[in-house]
Formats: sequence, C-alpha cells, structure tokens
Amino acid sequence: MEDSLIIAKFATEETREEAFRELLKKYQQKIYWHVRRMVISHDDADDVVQDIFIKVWRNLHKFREDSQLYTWLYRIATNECITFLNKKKQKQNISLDDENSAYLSDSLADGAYFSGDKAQMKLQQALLTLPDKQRLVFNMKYFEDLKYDEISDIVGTSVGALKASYHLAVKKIEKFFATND
Amino acid sequence: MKENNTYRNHAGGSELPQSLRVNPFTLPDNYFEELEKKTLWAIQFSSKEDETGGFIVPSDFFKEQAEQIKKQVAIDAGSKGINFTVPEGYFSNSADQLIAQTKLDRVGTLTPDLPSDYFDKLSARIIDRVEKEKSVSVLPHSTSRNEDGFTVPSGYFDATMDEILSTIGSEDLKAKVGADGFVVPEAYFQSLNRDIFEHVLEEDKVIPFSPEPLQAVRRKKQDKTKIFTWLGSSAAACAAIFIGINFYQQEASQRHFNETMTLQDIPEEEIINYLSSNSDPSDLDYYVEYIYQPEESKGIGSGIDAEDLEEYLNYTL
Repeated sequence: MEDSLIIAKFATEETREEAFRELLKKYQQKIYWHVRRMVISHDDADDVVQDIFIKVWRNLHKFREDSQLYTWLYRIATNECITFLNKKKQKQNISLDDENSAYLSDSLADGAYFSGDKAQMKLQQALLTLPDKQRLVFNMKYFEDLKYDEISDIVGTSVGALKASYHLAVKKIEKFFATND
Repeated sequence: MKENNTYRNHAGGSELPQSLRVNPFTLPDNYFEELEKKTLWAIQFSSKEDETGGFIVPSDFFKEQAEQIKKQVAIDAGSKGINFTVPEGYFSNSADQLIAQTKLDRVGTLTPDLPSDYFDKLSARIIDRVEKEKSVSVLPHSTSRNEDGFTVPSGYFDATMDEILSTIGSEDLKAKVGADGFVVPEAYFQSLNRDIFEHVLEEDKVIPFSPEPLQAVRRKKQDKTKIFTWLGSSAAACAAIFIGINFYQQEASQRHFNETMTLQDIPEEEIINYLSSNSDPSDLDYYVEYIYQPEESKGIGSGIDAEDLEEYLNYTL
C-alpha cells in the first residue's frame, strides 16, 4: 500500500487499524534491523521496536508529510535507539561522551541470535570501536544502502559531515581488520 | 548490501526454507526443441565458412596495397616514358587529406549564409574574448576553473578522493563480509505484531482487534481497572493532605512576614535554579545579554582551535 494511502486511512477512525497494520507489514522488518544493528541484543531491539511503533501510533496523525514516511519512521527509530543506548550507558556508569560502543560487547559476546562467521563477528567488533552516531551512519550507508541525502534527512546532519564521518569509520574498520588478523 | 532476512517462513539460522527451492523461472514453448535446431545450424554455418573461405583476403593484403600501387604507377610511367613520383607519405596521408578537402568544399558552399558584416565584427569579438580571458586569469581562484569554463566547489577533488577511497574500502569489506550475522527467533515478527497491538489497545481503548476472545480481553481490562481505581483514590487522598499542610504553613508564614523583600536579598543560586526550571528556550536571547563577558573576550567559543573543532564534529557529529 502506498504511504499516502496509509496516512489517509490512518486519519479516519474506521480504517485506522487497517492502515497501521499495513504500515507494520511494510516497515516493521526494516525498522527492526535498523534498531538491531545499533543495540545488538535481540531482546533490547524487541523493546525498542515496540516503543517506536507505539510512538508512531500516537503521532502519525501529526505527520505533516514534509518528508517521506520512511524518513520520519527512521528518525523516530534513530532517536529511540540513541535514547536507549544513552540510558544503557548511564546504568553502566559510562560517560555519554565516551568515544566507542564497547559497553555493547557483552551483548555481542553473548552470541544470542547471532549466526555470523568469524569475519562477520570481527566486523561487528570493529563497529563497536566507533562512537554510537558514527556507527549509526556507517550502518545506514553500508548495510541499508541509504543515500547521503536520505541519511541527512534522518539524522539532521549535513551531507559533507556524513561523508567525512563515513570515511573515518571505514578507515578505522580497515585498521581494526589489519591489526586484529 | 542486502539484509540477511532468514526469519521469513519460520526459517532460522542459515537453512533455506523448502518454499524457496522451487524454480521460479519460465521459458517460451518448445524452447529446447528450437534450441537444438539453432545449434546445429550454427555449427554447419561455421564449418562451411572454413571450407569455402567465404569473404577472405590474403594475409597482410592491405599493408602491401600501398606499395603495390606505387610500383604499378612506376611501371606504367616507365612504360610510357614519363617519370612520375609521389611525395613521401602521400598514400598514408591521402585519406585525411580527402576528408579535409571535402570539409573545405562544404565551407565554400556555406559562405552565402553568413551575415554580411560577419568578418568585420569577428576581429572585435576575438579581441573581447581575449580581454575576458585575461581578466579571469587575474581573479582570485575561489573555484577551480578549467578551459571549458566549468567550475567546481572549492575542496571538491580532495573530498571526492576521500569518498572514492571510502567506497573502495567498503567494497573490499563487503567482499570479505557478506552479511551482518544477526538472526531472530522463529515467528518473531508475527508475535511482535500482536504485542504492539496489545500495547496500542491499552493506550487508546480501541475495540479489540486481536485474535484473543473478546471476554478474555475484557476480563484483563476489568482487573486492571480495579487496580487503577484503588491507586487513584489513594493518590487523591495523599494530594489532599499535602495541599492542606501547605496551605496551613503558608498562612502561618504570612502572619509573620512583615519585612519587604527585594531581588537582591535572594541568593544568586536560587535565582539560577528558578530560571532553569521555569524558563522557555526563547528566553535564551535575553539571558545572553546579561552573561558577564570580560571586555578582552572575543566571544563564546573563540578560544577553540579550528582543527580541534573539526575533529570533534567529525567524530561526534
């Protein structure tokens, strides 16, 4: 179903649930994987995804269609991820300015719902050496194939800064692979 | 890179579901019968070409052609008593010369279409153009300029190089690492739908849409309502007690309040705490006017090195 139709149906009380079901069918998995790659743990991702879609249910009627629907959804998902990760850091008494995501290494080492090979594990370990926001940009560009313009709409950062951030992330990962053979 | 979506059709881990083993591709009718005929025909055609020779020429024919023509000309000239020679490189340049000549001939036929004063104004136009080129060459180069007049933003080529390098790095990485390795429990997305709808129903009190029997949903709601009613009454009672105590204290303090109080009597920290908890973001403009800055200061943030700032932005966005 087209996004415009979903929004129109959501505006009417009789068809609101049908529209929400269609929205879930269309975007649920994309949003899940976007969140999962950030929070690593499936259980954490499950919690965050539910919070995201409840927020969507509450606020979709306010969506002004000044951007694409999926951009708006990704923006909510991204903000929820960052909020969740900051709370996790606080619980573990880690500074919010800490420049890597090593606090998630336990979730990765746990191995629950991770069937990757050695190379994939190494890549995830390399990604945890990046700050959260840089890791977010890398995931969106590398795994989700989003364009810089789209990422800029989602995170509210300029395309130039995103390109610089991605370039630095790739260099760090290459260095990690080279030094951890 | 495509997502490693192995959760569909209740498949977990790296096993493909049986439903994906069906071949989805179709073919035109009688395709394999036609294919046999076409293959045999193609074989026959290529073998006949080898036997008869077809349109073939002797090897190095075209290379030796020029020499042969020269020799023939010499022979013909010799037999008639005329000593013809040709300039060096004549035959190798002849093709280019012929093409150039045809172009010149065409130009000759086009002259009637030119404006009458075309050549008079041409020299003035050429001089103007030269003056423009000279003025551009002395301008500061804020943009790169090539001979065609196209420009690019400053720093473009450096940024492009970084982009290319990061693209190459990403491609190398993708060659090593095909997917992220994450998986989900079986039937996770089906249960996720149900969980989200349950939350949404509680939030909005919408007519239940879940597959659970309606009575079970109503019983759950009734239990929750009882708890909320109890909590509500106790919260209301606490609030009433609190307001009563506050009112009594205020009355008591006001009876003893005889002095007039000014802003200066209130500690600075109290004012700051009050403003931070009761202010609006738009009040920032007013606060800035009253922030103390020494006269020698150049402004907030002026003491930060540009390189440090850039590094901070790049790492933390």
